[in-house]
Amino acid sequence: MTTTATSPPPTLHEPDPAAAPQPPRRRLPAVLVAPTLLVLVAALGYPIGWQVVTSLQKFGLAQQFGRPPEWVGLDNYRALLTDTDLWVVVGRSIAFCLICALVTVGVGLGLALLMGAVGRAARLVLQVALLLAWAMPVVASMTVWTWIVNWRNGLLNWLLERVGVDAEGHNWLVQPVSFFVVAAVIVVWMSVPFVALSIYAGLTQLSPEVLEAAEIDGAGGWQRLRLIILPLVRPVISIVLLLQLIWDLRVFTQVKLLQDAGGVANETHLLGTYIYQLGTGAGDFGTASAVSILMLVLTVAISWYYVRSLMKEEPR
Amino acid sequence: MSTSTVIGTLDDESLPPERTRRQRRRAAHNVEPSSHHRGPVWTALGYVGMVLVVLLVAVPLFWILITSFKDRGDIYVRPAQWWPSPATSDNYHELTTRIPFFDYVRNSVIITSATAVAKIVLGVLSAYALSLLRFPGRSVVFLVVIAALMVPNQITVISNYALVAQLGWRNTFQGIIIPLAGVAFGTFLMRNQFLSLPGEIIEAARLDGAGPMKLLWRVVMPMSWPTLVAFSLITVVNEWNEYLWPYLMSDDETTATLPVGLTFLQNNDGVTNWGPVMAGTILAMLPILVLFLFLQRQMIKGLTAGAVKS
Repeated sequence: MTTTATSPPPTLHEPDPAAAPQPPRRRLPAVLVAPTLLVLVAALGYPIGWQVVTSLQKFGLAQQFGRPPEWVGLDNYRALLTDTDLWVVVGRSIAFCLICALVTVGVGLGLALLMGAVGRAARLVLQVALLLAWAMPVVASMTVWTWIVNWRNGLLNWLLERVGVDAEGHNWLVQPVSFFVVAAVIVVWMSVPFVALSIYAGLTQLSPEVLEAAEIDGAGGWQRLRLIILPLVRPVISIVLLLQLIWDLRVFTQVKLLQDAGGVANETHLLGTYIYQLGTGAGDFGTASAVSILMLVLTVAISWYYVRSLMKEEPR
Repeated sequence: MSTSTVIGTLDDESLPPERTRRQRRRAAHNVEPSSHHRGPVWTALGYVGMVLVVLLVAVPLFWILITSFKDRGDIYVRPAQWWPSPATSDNYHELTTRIPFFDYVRNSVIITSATAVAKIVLGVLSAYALSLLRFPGRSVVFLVVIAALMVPNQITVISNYALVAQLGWRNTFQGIIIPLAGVAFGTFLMRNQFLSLPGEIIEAARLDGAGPMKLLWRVVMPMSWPTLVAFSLITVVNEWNEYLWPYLMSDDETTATLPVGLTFLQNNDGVTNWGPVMAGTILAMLPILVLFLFLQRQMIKGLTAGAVKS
């Protein structure tokens, strides 16, 4: 790696003013992308291949103990596509993912704008709070959140009682709707820092002259936001939105731990926990693999539009 | 070398205007808060909303901090205690004596730095090739990177586990580090950054005869400094917190990282004593905080370079 970085092929060192301005660099790009490509293909190609093969097999508990798997073609997929359970889970996951991603980006944008508007000290406090929320080990943050919503001695019920709501002993995790509200709050809480800090980094790249000019022209705060700031940070926003959509569709840890903390698992599955339950829980790895592949297809479908626009832009 | 001097003058030329821009930006920042023309009701509502959000972010943090100083018996009392009384450092003592805490710290540092360095180097190099160099198959490579971004880890974990276990790499650093070194997000992020650089400067450097590596090192990297710092921070935080893979790969303190160690602590005996776990959480977040405070200065430094862009 480093050797290629410090000593590029010798021909590149001699600029030839008479010839074309761009020297021939055939091998260099290949050298630069090869390691990345290699690691990606090794770490992802093999698992995907394995998953596709398994999804075409009857791969249950017996196969784990060494019995050769039986080829069943598309049977796993056929069984899945006619299973209403799956479609409920898929619909729920898509709704959950859309809501979480949009709320996360909205709140993140708000916080980024706030960071730009407040003084230096307040900004640092905000940034540190966000960073710590982000840097907290998942085990710890989930523990605290399950404490907060705990029905017996949780902070949430205690606070609600203080302001006069009769919430004593209310278990937020039993009803699927309030379960998903809690899950969404936690998921958003964990991903807002990344979004807010990324958008803030984008905001710092804006030229102050443009904003000043708009202000002189009489543009109010809202107009400046809508007409100048948002279009200019749109690239950042669309990247983080895409990433949030991808990540929120596969959410697992938060939902799993909330289920363990008192949710009704069968009514609160999202794709991530559904796959886990099929595979590790029921030992049906063939079906679990088929659902994983379906999830991959869904992810591609959700990001298709954005990826196509990325591929169309003409790099230099 | 002729090229370096040419690029050097290029840098020098762009410096003075940058300084004034930065001063003007400071001025603009100071003007900002007073210049909301939205009416008092909206402004008040906005502030209330923001206070709520900030509280929502801060309360869990605060709770972990005070729990780490509470007596074991005070953690689960009702009504909840908002302040530890009496405050005790027992949890920190227990954390560092009952489990090999510093072994976990060492493992975390080794694994985080190795994967982060690999990801940053690979990410920058591949993004550079994908954005500013031409070669056959470029869009295919980019497609692979995007595809990698989309593959859920539910797909990769089980089979990678089987593979690494077959190699006999469980409880080894290479078994943890190598599968984590794949970079897709960074390539994606840095590629976008490189594409947003002004074409004139890149072309000028090329016309001056800067080779591709020199172009990257002397022109592209300095101009992308803020994004690079942000990318590094994101990578380090993610690797520091990486949980599932190290957890599957490690059985004990030879390779287990801090988050995994906290789980061991939690499962040590039937009933979890949360005090030491929360103390461990606080200590685990400290290095990230220090790194951020350090990088924060770098980001401000980087802003001057970033100003060239707009």
